[in-house]
Amino acid sequence: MVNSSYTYSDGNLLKNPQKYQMTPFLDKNFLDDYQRTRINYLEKISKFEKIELEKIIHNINQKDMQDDRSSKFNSVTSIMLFDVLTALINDENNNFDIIDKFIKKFETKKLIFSKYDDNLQPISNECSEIRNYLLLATICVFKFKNSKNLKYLNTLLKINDTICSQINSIDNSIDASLCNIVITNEQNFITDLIQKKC
Amino acid sequence: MLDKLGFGIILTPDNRSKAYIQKLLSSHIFPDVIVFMNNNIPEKTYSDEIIEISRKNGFDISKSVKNVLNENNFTYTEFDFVDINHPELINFIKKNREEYYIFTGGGILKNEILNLDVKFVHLHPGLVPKYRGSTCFYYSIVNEGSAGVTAFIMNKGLDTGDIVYQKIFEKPRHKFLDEIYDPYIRSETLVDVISQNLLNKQNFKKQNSREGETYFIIHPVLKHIAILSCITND
Repeated sequence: MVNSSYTYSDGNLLKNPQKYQMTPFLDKNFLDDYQRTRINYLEKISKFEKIELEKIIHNINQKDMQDDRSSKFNSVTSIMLFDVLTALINDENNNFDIIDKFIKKFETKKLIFSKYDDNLQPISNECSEIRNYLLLATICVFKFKNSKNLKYLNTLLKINDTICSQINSIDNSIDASLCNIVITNEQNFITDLIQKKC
Repeated sequence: MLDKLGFGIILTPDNRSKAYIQKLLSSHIFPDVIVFMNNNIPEKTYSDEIIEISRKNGFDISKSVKNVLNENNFTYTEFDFVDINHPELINFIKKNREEYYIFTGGGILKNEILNLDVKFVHLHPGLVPKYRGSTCFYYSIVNEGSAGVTAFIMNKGLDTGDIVYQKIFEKPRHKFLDEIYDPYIRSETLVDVISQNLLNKQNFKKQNSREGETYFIIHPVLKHIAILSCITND
């Protein structure tokens, strides 16, 4: 990752989140650098087994049925995000306003806290749980696929910058597979947009 | 003696204010009150290319707001801060009541200034309610190949005030969207609003704040796609 103009996933974004304000326009090479940088990050987790999303959901659900729910999840936020993702995948006719509210929360501080109250105010300072970022990114993948609303792709790019900045903390196949899914999908969406618009 | 137009303008040392004051001047529109919030940040220098494109778009990016005001003998009041909620500015507006003040942007109006018996007009670079958020014109360019501007009366919400006027613009054929295109489309719309006397006609349209979409600050990858879509031949 030397000499890349794509620097938005550099450093520890949990300590120093990106603001993305008034970012400069460089040139078309910037998009090539972005693609290369993302691929380099994926290579760092290539040693882990790749599990399909349906199987990931199934595995988590299986464990969920066997055990006390809270013991399988590190935080209340991960339970909530997992439930939303499951409902999205199953195409359940739920009210998904919570997704937009959660995206607004992330866009404000570029962090996801482990616990929120009913009004989505953070009640924990813990924001380093990578699974939460992976789950929200996966939700954004589904929302963009279904709606083509750039708002979701925009947030997906930002969450994935944060995930890439924490790539060394990924230590299991489930998180590595989710990471692979969200980055690969993001790259496909961007490649498609470039082909259509540029 | 010129007739009063019933509006003041609050300028700041940036490209948007450069475009606003230069476009008003070239359209022979003279605000009744001019406020210049000037924190004396060093003036940026620009390449010949960007200066030439700005001139083609009706304003000269190399001319500072202060120079334009002075060279054209405008009467204005200068403050040494850039803060729309500053008590000194609020006191000034209380003493220099105009029905409308054009707000060039930067910051959210707090209750104290919103509660004055003055309406603040904002030129937002998006057709609300479909496009809310400060960088929404980039999304609009990617989605539709064009961008819009909405002139609205500011309220407590984010881009949810009553609509005065809306205008659509083709995407530009250059890469200077922040520096030139954004000030260009807003200033063109401002001139329309004033020259068509739309503030005094008061035929404003209410927005439903629940409708539409708020777009967050654009990610640099999407920003590059938007700009490249402008400079790539169709």
